[in-house]
Amino acid sequence: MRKAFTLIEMLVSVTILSIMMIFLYESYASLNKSNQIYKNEVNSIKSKQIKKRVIYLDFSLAMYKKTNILNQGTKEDIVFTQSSNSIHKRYNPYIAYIVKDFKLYRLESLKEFKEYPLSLDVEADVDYLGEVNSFRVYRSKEKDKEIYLVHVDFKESDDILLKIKVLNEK
Amino acid sequence: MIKASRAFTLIEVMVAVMIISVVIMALLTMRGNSTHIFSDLSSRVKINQFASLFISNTDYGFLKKSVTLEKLVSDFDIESDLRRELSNTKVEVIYQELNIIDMSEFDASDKESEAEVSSNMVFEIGKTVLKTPNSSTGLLRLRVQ
Repeated sequence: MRKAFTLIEMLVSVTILSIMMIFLYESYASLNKSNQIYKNEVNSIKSKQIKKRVIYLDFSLAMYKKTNILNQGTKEDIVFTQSSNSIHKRYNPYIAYIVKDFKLYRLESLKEFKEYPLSLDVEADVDYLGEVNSFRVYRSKEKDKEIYLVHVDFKESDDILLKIKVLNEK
Repeated sequence: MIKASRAFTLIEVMVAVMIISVVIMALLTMRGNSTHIFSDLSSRVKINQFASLFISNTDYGFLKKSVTLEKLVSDFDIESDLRRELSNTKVEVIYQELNIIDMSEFDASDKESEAEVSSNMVFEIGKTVLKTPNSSTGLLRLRVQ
């Protein structure tokens, strides 16, 4: 006759199985958690790449001698330009980069931005680029070349530092 | 008659323990790999933008040099905080020559073609690599001589 399992054997096997199940569940939970963290990080890298691309194309496709930098102290610059890059399907739109309450905005309009603070009748699409500690645009010391150095110090992510040459030269 | 049950031998236990440890090791490496790949990606994204500093820069990029990032943006009047930050970042610049196309070589060989072009231009295709201790980035360049 075949010997049946004893109670002790069953208890031991059930205990081992439950310990294994606990470990498996733990690893599954941590996998889910780390997946969520990776997803958030990948999304933030993606959005940062998009911001970089928009800034790069705005400046490199800017019209010749149409970029105007209004300095507002050591931490802020206001930039008005006209570029052939548009993210709202406009033809050669006027673009403004504005910092208000440490928040960086990109404005795109068919009407030229002339003064800062902006007048109330401005019609523009506004994109929020993030909270910043500083936003500076430097112009090259060589006056005959239109080359800019854009530095955006974001509060919650890495800086953007790009040197951009305007391609539409005379 | 009840047959006495045989105990596990040492070899059997060792094999079982080995198999379990290999599986655990594989799981741990999988996790370690993904973390490593991810941190590598973030540092690559951060350094990639510095390749733009070679645009219209005639002083750097064509020779092997160790410089700080501050030297690469010396043609801008930048804020002192940023200048200090950039002067603390040391990078190594390496230039690799990939190919040279000499246009004068094509002139004589192609006599049958109607439109003869005589040119002494030499195109040099090269790659400037910017290396930091953690990561590196590259920029392809075309030089006309």
